[in-house]
Amino acid sequence: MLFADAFSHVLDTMDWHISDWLHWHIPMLGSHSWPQGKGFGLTKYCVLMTVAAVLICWVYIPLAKKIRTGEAPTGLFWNFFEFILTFIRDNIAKPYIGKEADRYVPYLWTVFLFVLTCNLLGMIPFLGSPTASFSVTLVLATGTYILITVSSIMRFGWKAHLMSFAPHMDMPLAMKIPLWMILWPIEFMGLLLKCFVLAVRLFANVFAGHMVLATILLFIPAVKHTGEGLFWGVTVASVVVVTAMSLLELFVAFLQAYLFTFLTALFLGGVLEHAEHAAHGDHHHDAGEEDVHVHAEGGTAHAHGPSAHHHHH
Amino acid sequence: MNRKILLGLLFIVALLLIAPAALLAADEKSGGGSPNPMEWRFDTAIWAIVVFVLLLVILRTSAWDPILEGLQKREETIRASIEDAKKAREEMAQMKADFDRELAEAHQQIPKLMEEARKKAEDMTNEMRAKAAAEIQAERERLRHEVEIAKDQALKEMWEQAAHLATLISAKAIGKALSDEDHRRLLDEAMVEIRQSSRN
Repeated sequence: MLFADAFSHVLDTMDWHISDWLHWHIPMLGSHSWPQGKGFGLTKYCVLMTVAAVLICWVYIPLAKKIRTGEAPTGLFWNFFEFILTFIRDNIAKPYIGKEADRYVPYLWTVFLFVLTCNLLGMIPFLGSPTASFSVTLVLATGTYILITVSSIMRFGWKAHLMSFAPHMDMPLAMKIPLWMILWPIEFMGLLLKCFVLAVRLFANVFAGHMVLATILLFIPAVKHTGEGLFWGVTVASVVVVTAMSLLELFVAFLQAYLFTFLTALFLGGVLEHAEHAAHGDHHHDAGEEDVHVHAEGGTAHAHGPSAHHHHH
Repeated sequence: MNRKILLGLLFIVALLLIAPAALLAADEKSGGGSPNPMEWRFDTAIWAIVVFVLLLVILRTSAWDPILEGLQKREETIRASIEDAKKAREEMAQMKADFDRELAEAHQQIPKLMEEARKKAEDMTNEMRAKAAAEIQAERERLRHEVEIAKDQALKEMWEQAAHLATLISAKAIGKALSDEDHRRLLDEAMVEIRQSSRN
């Protein structure tokens, strides 16, 4: 009963439960039975995601007007919001994506701010974190996968993108082909899995944090009828623990938003780098530069010889 | 770029990602009862796609592009400022080096100038001193000459006077006994004697 209660506060529902006497049933848009018998329409998290999006626009569109000329923003408020952007650009995008990082910075900014705002909304009483819903985090992780795939294909082409999943090996072709037949699907699925884990990590962290908070607080109504002494003891302890845990949650909210963004940049940078190697390796071979390279390095010719074949196939 | 193939691939990817969740949801349904934290809600997912894509599009045009432009401009300004400062510092260093060198040269010239001035002053003093000495000498010579002339004059006058007196006295004493010729002879003899005695 206790856990079911906690769930009903943390889960995404169409019934916005604030207290037993105050809850808002969000109007239905579609059928009550389709597709999973749970109804289909606006849920609590749909409303909160919209709130998050509006908040982000409300802060960053005016900020853009202030700093588009290259002037630095004035005041703590604007500086803080600009710091978030420059932090992501200078400490995540530039080191892990490398050249042309500015191309992908808008996606990283949007994803970070969206995840962070969604996480933080859960810290406000009676609201919730949309990122505690697996449906939301999986959509965001899919966005990351699409970004990585589309960027790689647009920049280096189909062939190079697919070759980026074939690990570089210095060995004869006859040995390499069977190994690739095993490794290529693993690498290809690896990226999908990494993105899937991205979704699970964010969802699990936010959901678990909120579950813990809700459960500890629900100890209070659980001991409602057991007598004065126990009731007050449990109440005080619960409030103290929940306050401490909330501070931790605040940290987790930032940490998970950072991690999601950081890993997105890391995966993107990795795939782009491999795709670039694959693409440029082909060009080198076509121009005959690879052979010159092998001869020029003399003694190491044997080590480099097979890699020339690698690019050829 | 074959966009149709790209879109097809993305669709497959989306299915691959969503399939496990749908399977989980199906499991939950058969299990019934307790709520599943990983429950899959299509309404929330579709709303998330709509909100996220809209947010991306709106921010891209009205916030991220201007902000990136601003940040790049700022970086450019900072880089240019640093370069200018470096250039200015180099110029300053060059100017200081020039100035120091000139100052050192000037310092080196000071003793030479002082020496020259001292020498000139000494030369001038010597020259003036020599000139003064020469003038004094000339004056002295002139004075002595004048004194000599005056003495000679006086002596001459005195002799003439003495001769005259002697003539008078001798004329008185001897009377008119002697002729003028005798007179003259006697006088001349006396004069020679007197002159000799005065010289001795």
